[in-house]
Amino acid sequence: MAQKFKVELVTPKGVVLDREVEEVIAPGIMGEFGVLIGHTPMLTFIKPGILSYLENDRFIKYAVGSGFCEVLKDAVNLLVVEAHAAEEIDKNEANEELVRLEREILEVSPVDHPTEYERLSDCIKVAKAKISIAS
Amino acid sequence: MASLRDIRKRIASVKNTQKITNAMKMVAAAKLRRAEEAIKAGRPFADKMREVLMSLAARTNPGAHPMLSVKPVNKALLILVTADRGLCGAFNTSLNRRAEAFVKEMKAKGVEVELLTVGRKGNDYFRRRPVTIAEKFSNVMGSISYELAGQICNVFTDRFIAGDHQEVYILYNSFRSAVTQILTLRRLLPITPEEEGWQPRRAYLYEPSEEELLSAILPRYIQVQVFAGLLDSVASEHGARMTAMEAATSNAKEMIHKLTLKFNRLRQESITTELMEIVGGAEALKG
Repeated sequence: MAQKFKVELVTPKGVVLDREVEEVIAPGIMGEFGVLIGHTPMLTFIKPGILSYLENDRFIKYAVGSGFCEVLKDAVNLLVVEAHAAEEIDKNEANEELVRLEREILEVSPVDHPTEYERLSDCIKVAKAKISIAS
Repeated sequence: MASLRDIRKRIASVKNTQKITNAMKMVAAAKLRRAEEAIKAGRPFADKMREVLMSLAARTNPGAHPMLSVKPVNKALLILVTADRGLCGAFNTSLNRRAEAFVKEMKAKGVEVELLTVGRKGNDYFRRRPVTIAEKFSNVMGSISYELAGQICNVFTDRFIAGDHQEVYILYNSFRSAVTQILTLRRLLPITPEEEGWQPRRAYLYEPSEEELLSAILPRYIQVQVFAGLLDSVASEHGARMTAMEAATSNAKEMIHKLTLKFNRLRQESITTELMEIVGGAEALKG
């Protein structure tokens, strides 16, 4: 069995995840990356997408918003604006949310309100990630 | 002289008021508990953010990002976080008074201050005063969120980067306990490394470059600061309201007691007078 290390997933609403895992796969800004114990210390952005970790030969998934990730030799700290565990997602609700967001984004011009546009497109990515991992 | 009926009415009305203040106290207590939990839940995020920023920012020079650059000040922005509703003791008044004093202080230094009000009470107070309100967020304190903090941040960081303001301050009541709130005035922008006690960086692999990371983390850091300020303010508001309503309830109780005494005395007096009259009448009949 692989050696374990600590992973912490923190949002402004609280600590979502804090446990010992074997591997973490995170959606980095430069592409998805996997972390095993003994990884070179690294700091990078997280873009909205799916975060998964391996524990007892099983991948457990989370839909996360944007943020950043600090990788240390024996720990991974993730700071993201939102995070949802796969088992807590209601697929219908997520679908509705996506439809609503896609309608909203049509009304926002990316030129006039770049920050608002970016926020909404981030939300859409999170919603899509939620749908894809919901069972 | 108040008649018996008047006093009875008074007592009934004070009793009603007492019921209301007591209910408000209970509601505030329940909300306070929730607000306290929110503060606790938000703390790890803020701490981690600070840590990461510290380890990142020490080595970059102040010119690396507009949020770090200190410029001569002639216009500043004050973010005033108040409540949306009253009936919470001196909570809003002390904030408004402090804000007014701050505006005067800065004016003496030749700096013009504009306001960004969060919460209705600050806006109400300054609307009729000779201070420019650059932007207002009203009726939001009931549903504060990280996103709301982001919206507020967008407003003032845009202005700061455009050069409209050279400094940004925030004034709010920070939460210590249910009965103590501490008036807190802090400078948000520009961020100066010495103040924040930044440490030498850790040996990291940065992906993408350090500058890019820094420019993405700084706005978030500010957002977290504002969010923490909002959370604190909400908890303080409920704490202040709870204390104020507690005082109001006990005042009402005392008033009811006094009025009841007065009522009884008056009733007895009237009974005595009536008896005297009856006795007097009977005596007269005897002849």
